[in-house]
Amino acid sequence: MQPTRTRWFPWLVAAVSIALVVGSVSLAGGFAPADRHARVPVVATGEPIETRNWRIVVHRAVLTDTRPGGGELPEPVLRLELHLTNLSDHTRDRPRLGVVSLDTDRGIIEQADWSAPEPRRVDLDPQVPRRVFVDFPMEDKEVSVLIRTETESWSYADAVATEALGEPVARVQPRIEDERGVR
Amino acid sequence: MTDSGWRSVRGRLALGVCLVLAMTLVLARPDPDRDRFTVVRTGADGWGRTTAFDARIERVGVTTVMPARVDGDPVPTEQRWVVVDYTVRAHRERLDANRLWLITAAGDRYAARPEFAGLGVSLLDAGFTGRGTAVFEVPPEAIAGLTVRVGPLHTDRRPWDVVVEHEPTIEQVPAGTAGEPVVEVTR
Amino acid sequence: MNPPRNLVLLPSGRSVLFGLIGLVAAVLATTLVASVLSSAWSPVPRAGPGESVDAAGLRFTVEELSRSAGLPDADGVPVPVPDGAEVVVLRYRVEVIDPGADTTIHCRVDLSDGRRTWPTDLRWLGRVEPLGAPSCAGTGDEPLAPDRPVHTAALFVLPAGAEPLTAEVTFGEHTVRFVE
Repeated sequence: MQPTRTRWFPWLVAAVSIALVVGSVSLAGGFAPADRHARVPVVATGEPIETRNWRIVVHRAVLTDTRPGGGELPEPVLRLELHLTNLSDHTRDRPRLGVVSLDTDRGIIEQADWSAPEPRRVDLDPQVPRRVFVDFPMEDKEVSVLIRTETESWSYADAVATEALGEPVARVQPRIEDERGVR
Repeated sequence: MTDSGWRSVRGRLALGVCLVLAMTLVLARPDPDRDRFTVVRTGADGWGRTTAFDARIERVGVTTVMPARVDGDPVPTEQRWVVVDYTVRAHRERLDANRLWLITAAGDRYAARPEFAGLGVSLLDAGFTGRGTAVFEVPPEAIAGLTVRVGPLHTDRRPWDVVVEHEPTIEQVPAGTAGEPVVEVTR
Repeated sequence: MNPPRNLVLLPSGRSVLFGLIGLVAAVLATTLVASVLSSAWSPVPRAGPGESVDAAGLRFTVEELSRSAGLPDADGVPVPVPDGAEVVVLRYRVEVIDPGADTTIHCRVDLSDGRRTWPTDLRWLGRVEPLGAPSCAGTGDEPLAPDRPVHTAALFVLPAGAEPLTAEVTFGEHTVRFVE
């Protein structure tokens, strides 16, 4: 005949454990959304940043109304000049949307026009460093460039590994050179 | 005691098989960018033959100077320009014949440079033969052990599409040149 | 004391499995037979030059299905085709015969000789003398309407001597065929 104690003892242990966990969490301040961006290290302009697929150097930031190959732009843009190396195993058109973005008080700006010095095109081959321009539609005098990595996840439904935008790994705060009106 | 459930030998064997199967599936995940292809290698006459197209690599040259157009300004590089002259015959339906890739010994895949897209054969219809050139920019250390891959050439994505692969003898050329692409009726 | 387990009449695992396989096979067989029969009962409507065929509330009339060695451009200068190739011109008229018909679907035209297919060569349509509206739905200014038929055309460049030629006009889920 089993002693009575062993029938409800596991339930007691479970209840006490849960109470301890909940208690410690609320004592520590509860769960709050992690302020991801605050913990992202700041990297100096000109220093390389490595992500899963890219080595990125933010070389310059320029406010300009001229296209890289000459010719006027309809609106001034904030142009980042990057040195970029594809660390993956196949040619890519350009980094995924959001890998290089601007962190502003209006939110994170990801949409940009990518170009390369004429007559080159952006296309990024493995292990071949390239100079590229990334034009953001804005005229801010200060900028915080946010670099995010990419992650690979396994989709059992499609039976294939897919890549997606990952967490921020670095931010760069280059000094902006104002070249509007300079031809 | 009934001979069922995980306590039995048969049950444990089944569980073990399932675990091994699951592990295999996890480890053998296909790379999404490495589509699943059937590879046809070029034969002694240089041709690789598939149902949809035949392809032959005529010449592969390496140079550090390449004009962007037939008579355009030279485009220099710190890497190497690999210049691939090719011929494609389309058999049954329209193909995008300018989809060539260089595969290095390490497995890296290089696409043809868009700056030189005008030297390639773009849309090739059934019954026509196209001759063109694809130019790649590759680090010097990747030149040894290159494979040229032609395809997939279908204008839409298909599962298990076919590609032709060729291991070339690479020639050193003083300066790369390429003529205009040519399309003619297959003889 | 354990109660007897097999008191309830449960089917054995094996018979359930066979039953399921049989059911799936029956469903597949029925679907296959139905699709074969349905395509035999409603073949793709076809028409020769001068003939008409109706589909989806529209009437398609073939005005021309002909071959030539080339076509003059807007200035009357022949546009060169590769040696050994020829140009096939298809001109057809689309009229609304059922006022409730969908007149906004654009047509795609493919030419075939049974083994090979050629899509409409849009690179040409812009260079030669306009042969008609670019699509059976007409243009933005003159769309297909019950009182306004559309004359449209398709051009193909293919190796000379291909036959027999069939032009397959696809609009939405519907298809009509034109033969020489």
